[in-house]
Amino acid sequence: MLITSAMGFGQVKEIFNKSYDAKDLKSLNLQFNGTYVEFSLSEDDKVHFDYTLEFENYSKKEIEHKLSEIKTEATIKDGVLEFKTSGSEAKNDVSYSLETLYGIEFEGDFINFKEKSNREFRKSKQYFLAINNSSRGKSLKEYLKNLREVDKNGNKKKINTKNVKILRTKFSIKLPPEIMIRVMAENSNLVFKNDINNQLVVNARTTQLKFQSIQNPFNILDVVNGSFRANFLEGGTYKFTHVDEVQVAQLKKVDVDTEFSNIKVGEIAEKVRIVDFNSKFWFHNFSQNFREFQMSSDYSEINLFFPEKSEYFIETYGYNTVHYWAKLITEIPPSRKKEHSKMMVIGDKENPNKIKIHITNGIVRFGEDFIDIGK
Amino acid sequence: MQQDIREFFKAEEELKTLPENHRKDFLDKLNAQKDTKKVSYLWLKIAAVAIVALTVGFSLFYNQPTEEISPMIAQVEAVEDKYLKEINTEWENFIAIANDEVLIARFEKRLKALDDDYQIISEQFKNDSNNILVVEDLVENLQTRLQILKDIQEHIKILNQKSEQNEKSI
Repeated sequence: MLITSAMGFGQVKEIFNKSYDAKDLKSLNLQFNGTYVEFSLSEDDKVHFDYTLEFENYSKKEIEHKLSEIKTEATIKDGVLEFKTSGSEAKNDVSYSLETLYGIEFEGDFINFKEKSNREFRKSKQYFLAINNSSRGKSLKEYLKNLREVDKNGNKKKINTKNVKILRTKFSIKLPPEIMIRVMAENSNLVFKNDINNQLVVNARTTQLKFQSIQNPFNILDVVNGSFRANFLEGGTYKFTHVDEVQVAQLKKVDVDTEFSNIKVGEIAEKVRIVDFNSKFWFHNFSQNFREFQMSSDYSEINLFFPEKSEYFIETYGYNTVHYWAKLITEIPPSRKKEHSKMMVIGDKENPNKIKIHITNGIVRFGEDFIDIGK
Repeated sequence: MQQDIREFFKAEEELKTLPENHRKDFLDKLNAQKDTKKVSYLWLKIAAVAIVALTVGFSLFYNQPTEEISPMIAQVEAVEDKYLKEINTEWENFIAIANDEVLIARFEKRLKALDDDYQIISEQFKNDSNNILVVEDLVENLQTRLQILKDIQEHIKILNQKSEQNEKSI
């Protein structure tokens, strides 16, 4: 069913608009491929889907072609509502597309590596809450900044914004609070605008994920590539593989398995366990009663700011590992028996707030207010 | 595994982080390479025109138009070529200093996964070569490969700076 209407300068096309009573549903199975979706809380115990696209500067034929590529279906079987959509290829709420006779050229820097600073300062949990809440895609001006249109003589000129096709995706799914949710996402962008207490099972590949608070002891999230941002994670197991950006304001009662990822945590709260291979970590703060933080890793780089809110006990064991703390360097070379040796002990062993790190082939840096990483 | 120890130290000496002016150097090299590319495309064009002329000679109804390569595709090809060469060099440097087969196997797998992703993004690029977001994904993929190889070498270099101190208790 397609409904067309004119809104502003663009043409609005309705892709899918349906509501389902959650009383008859045990769970939701949502499958996204190349889609931008915003989730929020349903207030009437119904699951609501509202998916529209707004086209600007598209011809009728181009709109028809785009719509023909989008496949959306919903079925209910044995109390499971299964919803699938693919083909939009919109990874953001606003997507731009250019068509030129002789092509375009990029005038920016293709070699734009993220500059590393040598000194990193401790950041507050609030800092992470603020960045995780911010949401902004590229504006048209930013998008076109480094692009130039090439004419038939090879001359370059600025791109006329009238020649840019703009696709705005408005896809909202409203979720009732009790229902179990299973999400499979590929090449997508999912934004959860409210706290989620539902049981959540997520398999995401090359997808941008953004959450507020997720709380459920039975949650299972498996994320490969893409990015992950959340304010609070409480309960469940998380797996991050090759995720270049994991930013969480607070971790609590979670088991985390990571590999080849970059993880920044604003605050470690109660009972957090991490197992890793070759990731980089920044642990900025510990909550007042964090009880126990355990970490076991191989080829990891761990940057940890000492707890400030409570007394603590730290014990580290290492094999072929280096510790840095201000000007103090502790190293454990590889042993013949290939056993871990005790490297560092701080505080009273009886203290309930414990940090235990077992690390092989790793680098651990400790800091009070800042950590120097240039060494 | 036997290895000439001089090679080992040579590899370590070569292990550097990205120099501060790497962007400019790279772009300079890229521009120089673009000129070289133009020459090779000229020959390709001449060859294509010759083929078309021959084809027209056989049939008046058959005409194969020559297709201009888009500037963006040419740019991306040049960047890709340059990056892949650097990635290959860094891979050789990495396996020269890594004495952990498990680590090498994990990196091999990681790079293979990145290459598989690259092929998927390349398909998107073929269909939409004017989409700068797809181009950014391609470049980011190449940068990630290069960066993880440089990072692990830096990591190994730090671990190899051994000292006799075994335990500190504070």
